Amino acid sequence: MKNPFLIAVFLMIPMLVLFLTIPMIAYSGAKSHIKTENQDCAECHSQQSETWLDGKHGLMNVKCVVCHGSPDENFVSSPGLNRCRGCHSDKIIDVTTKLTKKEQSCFICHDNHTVAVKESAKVKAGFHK
Amino acid sequence: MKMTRRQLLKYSAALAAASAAGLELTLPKELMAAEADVDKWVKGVCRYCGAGCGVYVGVKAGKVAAVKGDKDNWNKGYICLKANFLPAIMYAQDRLKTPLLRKGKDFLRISWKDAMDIMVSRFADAYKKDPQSIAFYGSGQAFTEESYFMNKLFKGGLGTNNIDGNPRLCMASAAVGYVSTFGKDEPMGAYDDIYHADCFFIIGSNMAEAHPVVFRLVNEQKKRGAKIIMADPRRTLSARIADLHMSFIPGNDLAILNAMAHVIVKENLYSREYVSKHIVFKKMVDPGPPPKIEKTTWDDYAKVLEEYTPEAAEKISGCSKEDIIKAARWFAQSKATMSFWCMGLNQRTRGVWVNNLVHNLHLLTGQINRPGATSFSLTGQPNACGGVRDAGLLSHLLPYGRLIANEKDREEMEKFWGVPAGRIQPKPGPTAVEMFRALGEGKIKAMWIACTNPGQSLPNVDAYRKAMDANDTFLAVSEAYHPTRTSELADLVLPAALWVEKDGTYGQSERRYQYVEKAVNPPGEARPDLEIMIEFAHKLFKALNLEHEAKRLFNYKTSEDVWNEIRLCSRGTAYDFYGMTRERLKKAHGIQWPCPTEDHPGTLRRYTAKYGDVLVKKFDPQAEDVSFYGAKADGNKATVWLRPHKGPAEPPDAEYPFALTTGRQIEHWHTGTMTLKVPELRRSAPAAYVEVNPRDAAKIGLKNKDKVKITSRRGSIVLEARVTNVPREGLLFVPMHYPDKMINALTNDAFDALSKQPEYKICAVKMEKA
Repeated sequence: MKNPFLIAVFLMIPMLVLFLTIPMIAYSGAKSHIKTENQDCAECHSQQSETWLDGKHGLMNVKCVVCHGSPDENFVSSPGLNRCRGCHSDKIIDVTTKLTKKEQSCFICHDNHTVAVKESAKVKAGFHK
Repeated sequence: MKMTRRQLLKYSAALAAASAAGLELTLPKELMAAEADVDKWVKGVCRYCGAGCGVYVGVKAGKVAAVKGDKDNWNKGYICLKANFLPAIMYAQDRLKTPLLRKGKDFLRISWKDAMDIMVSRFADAYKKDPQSIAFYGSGQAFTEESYFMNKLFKGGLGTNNIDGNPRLCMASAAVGYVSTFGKDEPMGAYDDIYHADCFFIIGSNMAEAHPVVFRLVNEQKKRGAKIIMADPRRTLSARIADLHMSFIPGNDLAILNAMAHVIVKENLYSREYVSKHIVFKKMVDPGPPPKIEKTTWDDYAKVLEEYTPEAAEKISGCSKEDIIKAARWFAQSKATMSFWCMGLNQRTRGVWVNNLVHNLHLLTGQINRPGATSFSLTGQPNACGGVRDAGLLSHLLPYGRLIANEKDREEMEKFWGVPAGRIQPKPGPTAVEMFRALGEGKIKAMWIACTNPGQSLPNVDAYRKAMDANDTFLAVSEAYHPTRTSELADLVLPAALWVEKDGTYGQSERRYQYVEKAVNPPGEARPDLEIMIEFAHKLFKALNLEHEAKRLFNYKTSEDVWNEIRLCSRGTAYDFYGMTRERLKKAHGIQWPCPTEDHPGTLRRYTAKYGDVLVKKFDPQAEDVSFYGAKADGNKATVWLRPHKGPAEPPDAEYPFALTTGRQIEHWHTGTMTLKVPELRRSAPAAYVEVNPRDAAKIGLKNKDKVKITSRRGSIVLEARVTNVPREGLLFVPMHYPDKMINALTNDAFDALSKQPEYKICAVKMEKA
């Protein structure tokens, strides 16, 4: 392989893969968060905060820490089912019994921050009795 | 364990600093165990507020690992933000595991035997010199069995009424309000009324933060078309759902409520039928003590209301006359109106009066005694109703509606407890603030505080901290944590089991009694309070040469033994819950009293035969439907009180131009001994602050996050300013939770003459840039 173009492409592929997957790994596995002193979440995440505020969880003051934990402790960027169980244990049973392992997340149907049912939701009426 | 006083204070400061910085002090990493990892789910009740949400506690390897809402209870499976993190409160680093004795500047670990011997000897010595020199200060967080037991020990066993509880600081005005209007304490309605109401009148309550699950139900009903009137000098998070927000100068709501009654009468919006059938009118002609009360007439009442025109009320309160008129019409003309209130009305020097004025509106309009129409006081603690108001752990009460001042009630309880006639003293004991004053004056020599934190929660707290810290008195504190702002002042600290580390009964706002099952063992040598109390009683009586009496009076092996006596004590009273056996409570998701027999399902609505109160026919056989059978002397009728407007004890003036009010944040509960240990909650609400209206901020050139010094006649505090439109101009708000910034150093300990509840909600302060 003497063609410099092919060599460059060959080298770029793993770099591109790394470039794309590192943030994804960081996002999905997320166990850490930058140290934030006493900053309010909204100072960096204003869009999410506004969306949240207008939704059911915002109105009922189910604040960031319920789903995400503290940025300094027990932090999760993508909350698992256990984070929802406090109030929605019966609905979690629907998720774990009616969806495939891969699909088992509230957020395949509900918007992350408004928690409204998404237009693209796979199942709608009748899923939760 | 040896901790010097200096180290203790440093640790205290470290905790506070950690709290302020949002730092962690070693807690379990994953407190949200996965479903499959939970060994068992144990039914219980939330540890925090008086809403009384049913929960299931997930236990994993002998530890509390998760909490979820009970969908079969009134809360329909929902819990609030802080309840989600309940597991973390169990395993905080400062859980107290052994008794500690203060020796000079040190706190030394001692054995239970030594702790009990010291405590018994100090109480016995004091008692032998003067039976009125010992005291117990209890809590609306203790189980009913614990509170009932201490009441029996002090009033029936030791013949002293020096026993009061922290509900004096939060619910006394509501209790006296209910008793003076309807004859007996506790709301007649239920959370179920929310589903039937089409108008809510919410005053003096930030329920979105203080009672979030009740707020959720109200919001659901709003979606079904209900109107919401919210009267509050702050535009709180609760006000987000209000159709009408009535802002007013703090402490001037009596004028508004009288003006609403004025509109109701003037516009013929009252129910003539209800007024004629079920109401008497009364006024206080001399405040006393004792207060002199006279019966009066509709005409007299209407005449008094004449002066409370909406215009006059606007002038006094700053609330627009249009809003007052609109609120009065909505209140009267809706199909069913439900009122909610909490500390904004109760923690006032006119707390009872303002409670009476809310009840007046319901009675005048007939918005009462049917689904959705009711007058409902929200409660701050999980067992203030069941354990303290009902079981009578207040210095003027005996169990289940009986009064110390009533000779017949005393005789009845002496007979029931099996103590000699005349044992129960006829004079009510000191109330909370009076008790700590008596401690400071040296009248009380030995005091036991259990399950509460008056070193932070009393108004004008620094004055009473000195009393608690004094060397010539003995202070024992039962606590789950150490140090707290109270235990740091104690001579002896006893390690207490917390929440589901013991079993017992809670009774919440809607007369719902619920059993809390033991789920896990307490840490170290911590023990259930009831066990400690029973052992103390036996040993104290032995020291007083009354061993035989103790065997007879305190012959309990389990909390169920105490509960069975409690059921008997309620039998035949207006509170009758004899039918609530422990077995039933274990299976049920709460039962509401009256519940006189084991086959009775419980009572959603009191004082109405039509809606299922069987006690109406028992106490008032002639009644067609409605009967306020607790008010026998008034012909089973409720009272509309003529209560004039009167402002707070300490209104703002030229020297102290701002009104200071205190309150809660959703993340924290009371003095933060539990919630400030939870990293998520501490991170979400890390530190105290003061809310300042932008116009007030501009007056001194204050910007958001600037430091500001607030000073009252009693103390000062420096806080970060939050410049926001939440408080109205002239009002400052500070949360009450933070041990490193105790706002109660500034609050006023003046109290209501009738309920003896202090006026936390309003005092005069000045503000300057720090």
